[in-house]
Amino acid sequence: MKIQETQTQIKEVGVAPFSLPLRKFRQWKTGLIFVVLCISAGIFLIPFIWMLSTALKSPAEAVSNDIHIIPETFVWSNFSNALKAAPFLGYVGNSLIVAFFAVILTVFINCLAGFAFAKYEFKGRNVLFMMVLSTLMIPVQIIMVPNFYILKELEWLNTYSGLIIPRAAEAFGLFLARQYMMNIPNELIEAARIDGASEFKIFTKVVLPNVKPLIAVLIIFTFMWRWNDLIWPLIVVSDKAMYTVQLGLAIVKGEHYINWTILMCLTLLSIIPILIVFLLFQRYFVQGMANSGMKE
Amino acid sequence: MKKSIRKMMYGGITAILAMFMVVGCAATPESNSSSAPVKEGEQKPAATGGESQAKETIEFVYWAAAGGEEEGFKSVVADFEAKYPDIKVNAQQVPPPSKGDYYTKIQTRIAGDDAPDVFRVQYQKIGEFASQEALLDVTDVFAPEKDQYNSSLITAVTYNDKIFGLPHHTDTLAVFYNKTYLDKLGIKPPEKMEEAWTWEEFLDVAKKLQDEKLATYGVAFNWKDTSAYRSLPFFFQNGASLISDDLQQGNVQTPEAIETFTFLQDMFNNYMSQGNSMKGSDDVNLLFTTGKAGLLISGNWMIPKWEEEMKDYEWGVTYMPMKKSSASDLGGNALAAPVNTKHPEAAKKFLAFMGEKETMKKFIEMGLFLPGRTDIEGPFNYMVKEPALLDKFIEQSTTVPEAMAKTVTLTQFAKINQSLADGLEGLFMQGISPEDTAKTLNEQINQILSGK
Amino acid sequence: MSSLASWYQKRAIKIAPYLFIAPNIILFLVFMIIPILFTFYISFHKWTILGKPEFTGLENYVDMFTDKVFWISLWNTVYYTVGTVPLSMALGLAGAILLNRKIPLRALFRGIFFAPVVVSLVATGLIWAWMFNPNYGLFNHMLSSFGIEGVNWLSSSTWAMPAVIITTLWVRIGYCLVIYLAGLQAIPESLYEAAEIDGANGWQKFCYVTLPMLKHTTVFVLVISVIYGFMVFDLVYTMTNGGPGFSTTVIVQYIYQKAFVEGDMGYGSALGTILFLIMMGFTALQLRLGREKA
Repeated sequence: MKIQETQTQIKEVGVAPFSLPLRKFRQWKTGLIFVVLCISAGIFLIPFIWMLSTALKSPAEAVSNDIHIIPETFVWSNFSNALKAAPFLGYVGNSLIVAFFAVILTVFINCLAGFAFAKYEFKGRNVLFMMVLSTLMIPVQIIMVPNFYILKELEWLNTYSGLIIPRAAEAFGLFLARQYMMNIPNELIEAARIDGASEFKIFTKVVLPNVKPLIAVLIIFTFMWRWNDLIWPLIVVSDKAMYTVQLGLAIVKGEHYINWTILMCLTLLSIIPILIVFLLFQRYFVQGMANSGMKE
Repeated sequence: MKKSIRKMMYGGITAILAMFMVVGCAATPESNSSSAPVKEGEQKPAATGGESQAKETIEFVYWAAAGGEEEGFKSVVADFEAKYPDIKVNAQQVPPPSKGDYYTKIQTRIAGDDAPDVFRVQYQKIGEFASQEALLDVTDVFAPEKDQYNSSLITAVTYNDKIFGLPHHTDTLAVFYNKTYLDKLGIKPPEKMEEAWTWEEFLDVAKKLQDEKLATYGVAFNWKDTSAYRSLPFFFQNGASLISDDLQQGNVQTPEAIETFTFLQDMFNNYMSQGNSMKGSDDVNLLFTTGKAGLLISGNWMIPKWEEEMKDYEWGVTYMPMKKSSASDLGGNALAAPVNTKHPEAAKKFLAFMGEKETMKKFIEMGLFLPGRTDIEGPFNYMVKEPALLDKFIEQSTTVPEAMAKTVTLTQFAKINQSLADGLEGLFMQGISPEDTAKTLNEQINQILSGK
Repeated sequence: MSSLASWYQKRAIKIAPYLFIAPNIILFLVFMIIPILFTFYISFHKWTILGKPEFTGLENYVDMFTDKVFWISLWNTVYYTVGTVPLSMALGLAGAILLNRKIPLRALFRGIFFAPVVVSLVATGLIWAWMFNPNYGLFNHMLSSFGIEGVNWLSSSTWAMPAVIITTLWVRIGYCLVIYLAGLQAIPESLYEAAEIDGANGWQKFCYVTLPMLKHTTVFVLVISVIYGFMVFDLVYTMTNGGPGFSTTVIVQYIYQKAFVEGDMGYGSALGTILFLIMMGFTALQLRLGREKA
């Protein structure tokens, strides 16, 4: 990566082989690209800005005929009203618990399985892999009822176990892990074997430390999927105390009367945690995506 | 960095194992009946020898769409527990059934022998359950007082001459109007049901509202998602119905029904917002509170919202329009117990209690509903500024035709409702002619009724 | 190293992979495979949950062929997929190319473009439905300030699907961008230099170096995007609920309506089975095409 960066650097700044007029041209080009990116970024931000703007307006202003981006008066009480409308903080708590444990569990088992698929030859490998792939194509709606029965038998309805464990197996995460692990040099593994390490030890001491960026990717994706999941909690939970954030949001929307300012407040609150996670891990995340190579 | 990740892994695995041990018994902090098998209904003299009475817990599943309902339920549940100290009620409030999951879950639970003990159910859905023998027969609880209840509602909860639920409350539709606008037009809405607007007069008001540029849309209607049946009153007002009296076949291709479709199409095309169709995404309440719609056909449960949100305009209530007769919508919900509840006696007690005059009065006052019983004496202290508005609704609710009650409580009504919704959607959004709409709907109803 | 130790090791190497994949496989089996098998089974029956399943053979499938709405939903799903996949991939690639150089605030741009991906679809649907609101929404207001009469977006059978597609693009472009960016950064600089030496200009470099090197990435993004496109539900459910008319009823929405709103589990299961088979076939085809071109 570093070598590439330097090479790109040289190219852009226009040192050495390039003549002066060409350097200027490249600077203009960069400038133009920057402007284009700024405009595009601005367009992408509009929904967020609009949501924020609506959340801070008074209900009357939100539906007036004059629309301003910046509210006339900043109605911060919308947030406290929103939290009164539903025990939202409790929902956030539930979602956090679910997401936290799901991340740990999913990252672990996906890395493990990804390692196995990437570095081992075993009978049935391709068939099992196809099976994993096929799970992506099952619309959750049609397996809702059978899953309900299964969860009932396991007595996992309305429990954290029911929310966390079944969904810990995430096909996409497994693919990413496999892709990434295929790039680990076999020599490292062989060397560890020669040293007499057990297979699991190889996993924990040789493989895991080398896949840091992958772990970052899996953390972000898993957190995101669990946080945003609506259908699964809908199956598992009927007790209001166990609601997750998305369920809560769906109920508020289902009430007879939609108050858009409150809705936008709650929406805003519901996306803050995931945005924080993303911002924290962004660097590793991009690295991880890059090094997975996306090979077949 | 590598070490810390490994540490995190180990820590995480330990945490997971610990968590499983704690949570593995499947009890959450708020314990709930569906996952703890031992608690329910069993006498535990051995374990808790000190207790003089064994406590039974029943599970009551319901939804609450507007604020008042929630308090109403909580309050009457508490009253029940006070009266019957040996029965505890595990009240589970869940999302409203506007999109279908509510009933699927309950049905799955009943089929899986894990039924709740009492649940709230729309009159339009109770037939589905009753005909599949999924409900507890409560004739012995309510037959003695049958005549003290609204007869259409009793019809709605009766199947094969047996009563399967408590007609808990009803609500109905009427016309909310923007008084500020009507005053400007010099129009005074009817104060007596006999003087209710005719179809023509109704549309005329809508036209004036639009012509004088007071409202963008003369009319808005609260029919959406699964509430296509709210259009039924218009059919009955014209002496039409969807199904023959013997409930065996479709009866849509009558001149009266086609006339109704024509009227509805006319109303939609000329006086309503394009987004106010069956699947439209308009927020009709918003249209009304912001004065964009001058007349809104909706239900009594909306009154608290208007009191809160109608700041810029005055408003009032008048009766549904009429043609050959007056009719309105069969709204509201019943309470029923699944046939395989593990606590049939306690469930019956609960239902009986909810049907008592004082309990019902309290609930409807808080929830802004109309009572299922007809023998509760006013005045009702509805928690609104002008309780008198409810009187028009109460009066309107007596115009719900018996035939409508029979129609909506058919087992297959969900499918018929969907066909009606699809038909109206085509009528409004795709300009399909009333005759064709009637024809298609009739065919579909026949198919559905014949068991397809 | 004794031969005993190496025998143990050989055994361990044989067994280890099975143990490692076990948690995943078990979970998939229990919560996905078994349920879908149950669904296949039910698709040959008539069932309303409360009653007993009644065997009806292929009746559900036969009904599908004459079901006008089924074909409409299939068409809508294709419309949606064709509307979202090529555009999101192309724009994602374009953005990745723009970002694949040293410019200020690069990480910030990347973050902004990707942020919509992490927002839940329910939230996205709500925000965009609000923006598309015919009376109070942002878009119609902007249009009217230019003197154009606003469209009743989500309630117009011509505009509802485009509105959903636009919303989807907002969500998917960032996703494609990040993956393509990763792919671009994996292309060795030396290839570009060699092309320049051969006298290639910018466009030719793109066609002959960039695109071929991105082949695997492209296949990956294509497969995932098409699957996503066919399985769309949350957004439609939140924004339009399949309307107006049937103009945004996609296949999963139709399944939901049949199975849950109308209580026809048998037919819903049959629809789901067909969808699953279509997806499997499609994906297999895409993977094969991807493999051949190598």
